Amino acid sequence: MNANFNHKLTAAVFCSCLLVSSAALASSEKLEISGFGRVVAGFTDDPDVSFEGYENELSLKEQTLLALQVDYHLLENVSITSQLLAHTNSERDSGVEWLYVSYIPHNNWLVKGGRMRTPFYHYSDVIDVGFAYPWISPPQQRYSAFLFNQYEGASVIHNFALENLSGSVEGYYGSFNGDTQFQDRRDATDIDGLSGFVFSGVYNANLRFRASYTTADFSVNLAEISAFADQLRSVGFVASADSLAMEGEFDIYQVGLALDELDYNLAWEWMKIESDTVLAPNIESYYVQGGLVFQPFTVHLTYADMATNPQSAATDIPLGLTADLDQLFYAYQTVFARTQAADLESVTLGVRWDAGVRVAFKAEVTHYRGALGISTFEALGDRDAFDERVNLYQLGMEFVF
Amino acid sequence: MHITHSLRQMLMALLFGIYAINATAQEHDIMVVANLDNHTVKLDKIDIRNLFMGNASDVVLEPVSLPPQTLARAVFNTKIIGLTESRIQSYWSQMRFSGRSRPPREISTVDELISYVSSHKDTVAFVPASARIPAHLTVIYSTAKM
Repeated sequence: MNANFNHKLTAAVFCSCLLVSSAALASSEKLEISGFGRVVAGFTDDPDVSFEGYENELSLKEQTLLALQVDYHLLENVSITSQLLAHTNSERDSGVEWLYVSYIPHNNWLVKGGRMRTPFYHYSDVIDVGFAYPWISPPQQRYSAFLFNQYEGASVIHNFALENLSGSVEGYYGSFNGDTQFQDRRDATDIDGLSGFVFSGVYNANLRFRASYTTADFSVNLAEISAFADQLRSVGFVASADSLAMEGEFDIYQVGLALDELDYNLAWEWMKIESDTVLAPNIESYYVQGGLVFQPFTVHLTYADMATNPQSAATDIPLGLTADLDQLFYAYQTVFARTQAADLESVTLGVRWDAGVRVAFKAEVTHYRGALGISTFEALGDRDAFDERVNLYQLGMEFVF
Repeated sequence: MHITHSLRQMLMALLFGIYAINATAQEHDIMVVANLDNHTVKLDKIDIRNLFMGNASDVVLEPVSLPPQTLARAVFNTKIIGLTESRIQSYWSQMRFSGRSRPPREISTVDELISYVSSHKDTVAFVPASARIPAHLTVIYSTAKM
């Protein structure tokens, strides 16, 4: 563990001590303390690229984390929830992940306000809670490309029951100002007018479904690229400059189904990201997953696919007129090519061992096929050496308390 | 005389056997009891599953549970919820840490559970089918043939 994590851990432990001592003061009915954590080790078999921070040497720091959740019930129907996280991954912020007030005006209504997780997909609001899902790394094609995981705003949830259907509808509105992460880079991001709804439910007690829509205006400051775009704009190549601007509007559509039985489970989830921005590719992706339960073990197999819709580069820089312009042309083409996303296909075979009521061990191997791209692989050296195939091996321990 | 003695032994063994089978069957059956004003209420399996999994339901009752690794809970998980304990724990971690709902309150013994439900209106719990329950509680579901 690095010093940074130790520091964060100390802070988290300190906070928990404070909370526990305040728990002694408050009545136990009013204060609930829970938490989760994971220790994950992984490496790839390819020395040419990094993938989600993983390289060809064993690393424990990419996904290892510890979190505490404190729920304080102010009144019977009003409570405050805070979630504190300490990550080992230096690319991710440690600190207050959640802080919101929830109010239950009526048994079937829940209103929340504050800093919350963005509910893009089935598991995206519990992406750090590895105990909640079968994989160590959920299908990457769905969960980390293009996304920020928090927002500040309000959410209203209405639960309803109809015959054999028990469902809920959530509407939310908010904004996000912070960093988003692509590979090992962090870019300052502004998200405004974030709004969406989620329709989810369970039919006949074991078939779950979820459909959601999200839209927002976004602006990501890609430092080096923005500087180059400004240079292009200053010499009049506006179309080229615009094609390197990471701002606009995006729409995300999602649909998912999951069937859970005592001895097996099946899941499918599909999503589509549409954007009018050249740099933010349109992405369509899905996964199918099946698991067999041999209590206390679950063996699962997942196929995931992400298809990106390549955008065309601008054509306002002439080629063959002067040496300077040629140099600018090639510089633009190179920058443009490196900001493009690539398709990604993967097969994951994993096993989860529920060793205790609140602790599970997991092992998984994922075979990826895909090119270099902003949401896939990053070259560590010679870009041409990469054969577009990588195996990722991971071991993990997940716990909740 | 000797024959009568053997016959009696056989009969005893048979009766004890039947009793033992019954006892096992009862251990592997549970009933769902609630503290309600309306004693005629009966719920189906889906309603009960929804109540104990925090889903919206037509009936508003507070579910109370026995802890994991108790036989009645294992029976309830298998026969009513239709999921393993591990899957249920993983489901609750998703609900709790996404701020949607919390697992039912857990009470460690059957006697304490019955006493809690007895003294709290609109609560519901599952108990072994062999448990003695006070007359003011209503059995709203049972996995045993009634």
